[in-house]
Amino acid sequence: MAGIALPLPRWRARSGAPTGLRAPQVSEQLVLWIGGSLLFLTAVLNFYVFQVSVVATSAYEVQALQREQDVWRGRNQQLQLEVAKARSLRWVEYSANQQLGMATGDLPIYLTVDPGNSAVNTSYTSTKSLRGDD
Amino acid sequence: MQAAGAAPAAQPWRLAALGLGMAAFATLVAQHLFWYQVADQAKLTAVAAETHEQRQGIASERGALLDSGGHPLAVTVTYQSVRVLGSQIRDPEKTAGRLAQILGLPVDELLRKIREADREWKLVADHVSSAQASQIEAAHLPGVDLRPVRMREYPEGSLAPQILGFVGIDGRGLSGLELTQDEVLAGKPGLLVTERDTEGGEIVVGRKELLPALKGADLVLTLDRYLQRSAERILAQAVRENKGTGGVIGIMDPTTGAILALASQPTFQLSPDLQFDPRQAALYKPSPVTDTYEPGSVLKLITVAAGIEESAVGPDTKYFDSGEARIDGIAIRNWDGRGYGTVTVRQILQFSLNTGAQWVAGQLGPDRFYHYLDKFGFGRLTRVPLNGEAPGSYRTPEDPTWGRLDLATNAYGQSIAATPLQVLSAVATLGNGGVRMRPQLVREIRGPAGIQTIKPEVAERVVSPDTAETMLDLMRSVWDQQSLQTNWIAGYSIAGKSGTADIAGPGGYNLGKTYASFVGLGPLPNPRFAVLVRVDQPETTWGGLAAAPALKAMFQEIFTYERIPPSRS
Repeated sequence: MAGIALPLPRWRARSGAPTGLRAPQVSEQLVLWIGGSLLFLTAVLNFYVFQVSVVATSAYEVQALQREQDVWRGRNQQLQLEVAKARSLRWVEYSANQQLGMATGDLPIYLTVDPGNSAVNTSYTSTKSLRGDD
Repeated sequence: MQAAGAAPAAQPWRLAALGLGMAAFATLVAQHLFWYQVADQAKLTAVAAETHEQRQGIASERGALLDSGGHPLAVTVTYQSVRVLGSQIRDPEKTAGRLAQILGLPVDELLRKIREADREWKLVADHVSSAQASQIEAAHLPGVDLRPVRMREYPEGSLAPQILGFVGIDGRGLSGLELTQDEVLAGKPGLLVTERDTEGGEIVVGRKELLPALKGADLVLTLDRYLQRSAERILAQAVRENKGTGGVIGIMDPTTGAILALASQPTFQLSPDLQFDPRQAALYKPSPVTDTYEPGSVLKLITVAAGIEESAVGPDTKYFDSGEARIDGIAIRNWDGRGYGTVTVRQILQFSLNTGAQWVAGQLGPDRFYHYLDKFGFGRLTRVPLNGEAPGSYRTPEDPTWGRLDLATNAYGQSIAATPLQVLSAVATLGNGGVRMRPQLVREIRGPAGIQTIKPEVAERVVSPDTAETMLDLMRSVWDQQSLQTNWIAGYSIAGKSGTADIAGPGGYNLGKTYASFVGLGPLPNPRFAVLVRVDQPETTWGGLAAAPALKAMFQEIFTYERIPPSRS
């Protein structure tokens, strides 16, 4: 009949178990070593799994943040475009003419100011249209 | 009877055979390992990489084109496109309803597209704003995907289309500055290498290598958006009023060579969705530098400047004009066919006498005359960064076909081909004390490495400051003629010269069809602006009639915009 010789507890082995089929002697140090190794391995594996899960979570978060950053960057570009369009001459001219009812002005009037005299002299005036040919 | 538990007698040959077999197996394994790990390592690594690696190009952001004041003329904006895959959508009605709500599209149309996209992704909306994209993302709709799309936008509208040019669907320049400055504007694309799973998805914890894309540089141009817009408006009006077929207006700062405006007609309209149309290819090229014309009487300025510089003539040197000069049996006549009698060089320019101009060229002789044509930049590329620039051409005594008649006709701007930019640059030389500046279109490059300022470049001294000053005085007397009084601008002095050139055709000159032009420098005595106006085939024919009013309008805009006060009453 086949059997498996299980290691006996140490106290039994020391207290004088029946001779005949004696279980092999296992040192306490070896058991501790194996047990410790298993515990360490378990801890390491747990740590690894934890780390992988943290990295995976972070990677997904980074991906999401990158997508969000792209969206914000796109939104920023679109807003800058809107600002540029609002400041464009085309829009300014349209607003001035159509919305505010402004018309093209006459030739500008330049004034000569004498630093020693507070009086202001008009050096040149004209009512001639600047855009007479327009 | 054999005792229980006793081992059978060992068979040495069996052990040997087992050992041999194991050794052979081990050798086989080792050999395969050697093949896989050493011999075929490179090949197998490549196959593995191809299977697992995902190489994704990252498009670089294209730089902007800005005017001299930093206002954007062409910018790249990222939008999103929305795609759907019907097989991944569980509830098409609900998805279509939500998308319709966000995108403002009809539900039926979206539902049809979802049903059509059963096997492959289908585009349902292009150029979606970021705000809408955020809403779609927040809705977490399965089977709906967003992809970034980049577009070239023009905040100022279609401004200087032939100069700016445009880009193709791949984002690369196809004409104008977009083409010639493509490398600077495009930047460098990046690369993202990731590992993918069996379904092609990215393994987020896998290997990831990122080579970031480098943004393209922004170009600050010398063009001024206000002057460019004014030039385009005034040109369009001049062409319309004169029933012309096209024209050019160019404005240059003589002291730097900076091109402040360069408008041309006919042209095309810049728009974000512009696509190359081969039938319109002729409109895409920057015609002020690619198309040559015979400048006509404007070139008399060069002839007289050379004559004065070489002391062959002076402003008051007298010449008898009989109204006709015969060269090699061919009669050269004045524009009005009249003889003006004894006139000075000043009057040759004032009355724009062809006979007088050919006489001045004769006093100079061909060698000196062509030497100055070359120095003023005719027949040479200006090297302005635009595609297809033409150097222009004219015959010289070295050409076997050259004759004395060429010298005579060249003196008043016929039988010589020049681009509008060459003519503008030559005239600007007279406004810069005789120093020709290289035409400049790009003033600054704002790249990731910093700001690179492009300084104005002196091409060469052409004539002395005294000659240049004398020429300004002569040109001023041209502008101050009574016949041009309607074009005077009260309070401002301008130097000018008209030009009317017959248009050459296959069978000779097409009489009645002209290039009518006018060049001006102002305000005197220290001109800050050189302006060229050309109207093609105007009904009124003459430069003084068709182009001078536009020159006046242009100078008025410049003086007002630049806040230049009047200098005389």
